[in-house]
Amino acid sequence: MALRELPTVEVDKRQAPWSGNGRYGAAHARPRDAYKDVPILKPPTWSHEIAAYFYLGGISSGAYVLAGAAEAMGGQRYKPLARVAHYVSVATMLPCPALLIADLGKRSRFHHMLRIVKPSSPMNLGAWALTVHGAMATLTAVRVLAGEGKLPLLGPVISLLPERALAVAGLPSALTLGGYTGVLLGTSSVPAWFKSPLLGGLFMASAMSTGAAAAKLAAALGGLEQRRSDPALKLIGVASGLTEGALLGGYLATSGPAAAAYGKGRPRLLMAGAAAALCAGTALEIVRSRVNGAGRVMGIAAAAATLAGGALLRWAVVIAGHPSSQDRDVTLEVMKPAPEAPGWTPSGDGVEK
Amino acid sequence: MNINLDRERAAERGVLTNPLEGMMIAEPPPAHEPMGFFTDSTICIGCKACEVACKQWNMLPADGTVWSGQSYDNTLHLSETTWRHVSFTEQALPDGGVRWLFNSDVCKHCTAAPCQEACPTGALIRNEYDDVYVQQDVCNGCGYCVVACPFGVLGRSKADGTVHKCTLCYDRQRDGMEPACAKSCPTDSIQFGPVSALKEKARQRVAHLHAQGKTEAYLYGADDAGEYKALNAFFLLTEEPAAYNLPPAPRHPTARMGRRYLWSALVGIGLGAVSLMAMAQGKGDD
Repeated sequence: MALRELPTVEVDKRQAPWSGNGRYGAAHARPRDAYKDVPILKPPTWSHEIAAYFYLGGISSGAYVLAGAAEAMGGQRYKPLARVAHYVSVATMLPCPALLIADLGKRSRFHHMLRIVKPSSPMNLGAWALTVHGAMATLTAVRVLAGEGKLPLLGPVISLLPERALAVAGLPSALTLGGYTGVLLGTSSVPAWFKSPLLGGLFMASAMSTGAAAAKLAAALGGLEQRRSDPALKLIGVASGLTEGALLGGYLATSGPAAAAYGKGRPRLLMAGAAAALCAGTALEIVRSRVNGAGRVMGIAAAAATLAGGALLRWAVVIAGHPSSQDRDVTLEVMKPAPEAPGWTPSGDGVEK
Repeated sequence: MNINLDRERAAERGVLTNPLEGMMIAEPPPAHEPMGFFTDSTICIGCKACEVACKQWNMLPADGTVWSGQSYDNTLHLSETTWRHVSFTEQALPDGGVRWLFNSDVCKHCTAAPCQEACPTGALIRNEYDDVYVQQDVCNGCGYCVVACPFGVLGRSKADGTVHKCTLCYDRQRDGMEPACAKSCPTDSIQFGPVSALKEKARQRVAHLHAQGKTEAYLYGADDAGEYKALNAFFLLTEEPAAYNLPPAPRHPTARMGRRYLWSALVGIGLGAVSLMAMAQGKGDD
């Protein structure tokens, strides 16, 4: 076979990517891009455990901030709501360490996360945030229990702790826990995660909306008198829902070519579900605040939709990392030369510099 | 099994195993001149001696034979068990001829390494030779470095759950020897030495090729490129980086971290303030 015939070889795309026509390597048909089908990046090792952790950690963070705000500014009126929110915060925090450890390649070394303090690593910062937040959420919840007289033995001792100061002291770690997760994903090379600067803000807004929704749901199901907790929750629900919606749109818009990861398969389904649930939750909340007192059921539905939206959002983003990292065209597109990163190409030959 | 081995070793030393051993930080050795690789793809003959020497010296397991159909390259990419990978590109030329492009890819040992910055345990360190090294006994397999690396170098092993990559033969360097791949390279396509000297050599080689009319020759990774800093293992290439499956202009994840935190903080503080206001407003209505 004469060599000059090689460039005319057609590649049958229905065959295995590397097979060409069975006689020549696929490289002949694509002389400039023999590695067209080999992803440049490695796929993430993260999956459901991480999505679940991001979700529950977010709720715990949001509920804690809500409770802290209620304790700090809400006076006696919002005391019951603050208590419920503190219980929600500690309950959603408890599974988090187990989820994180389950995800590790070497679980017995989980404590190595805390052998150093390393601010350049969002994961290290997050491990510390979870540790501090876990302690604060637990301590505050125990203090609340003691305040309600439900701790007969240790109660009197724990009641010596100032409840309000305790709740406020835990706010920085709670806020860090809610937002660092998006920053963690954003500080990577996976196109769908790193292209937009908004992922940290989006997860923070979702933490607030799901935290408030979980507290509202728990308060409603726990028979807390609705009239007392309602006005503030309405405002917080609408504000965080609108912020989250705006950031979700902004995240997808600023992702550019990397948003393609949400264009097909499971990520598309999950992201569409997240957007729909968030819209439904926020719309219900707004409508409800217009027709004042129109219903406990609408409030519960709004909270449930917001919670579902937050979960779908975390799963969509975490799951999308896999196809996004394996999409070589998008990887090359987001890593093409630009003023801030001229890269190394034949046009800049590195001799004169 | 590992625990038993650890205990045996501890018994040999006549000491009790310290449960906090993984948390202790050793005194680092004094800094040495930065050492690295210069890989000249124009004299690579695709023999894969580097791949074999690397596997042998580092006792890396076989990857299992998969017939990729991509020329003579059945390895395809770097991984936890492949620390040198020779890429093969067969280019059909307009005049009917064919030319080969070979390049021996390796961990770039970035001077500002995203994997090292991302590592939450401190397992990934910059050693005294300015090379990026995984402390295998510290790594807990969190997988952050895997997604941080813009070159897809690191992989998490299913065998031990930790992440593995090129050590730039840290063990050989400490004994005054060059890395196994460079030692075995029959054409000196892979050269090892002080990075500054290698850069000098590489620039001379590019100038030489340009003088011969091969103006397509350029260096990949020898200089800082905006937010992505220079690589301690750099390459001389003659085609677009994508032809060797290298990203043309990698972005530095950590360089963009501040903006991401800023957005997160703005949203958190903003919504926190809304919560405080909402509570303060409703308080008096009771």
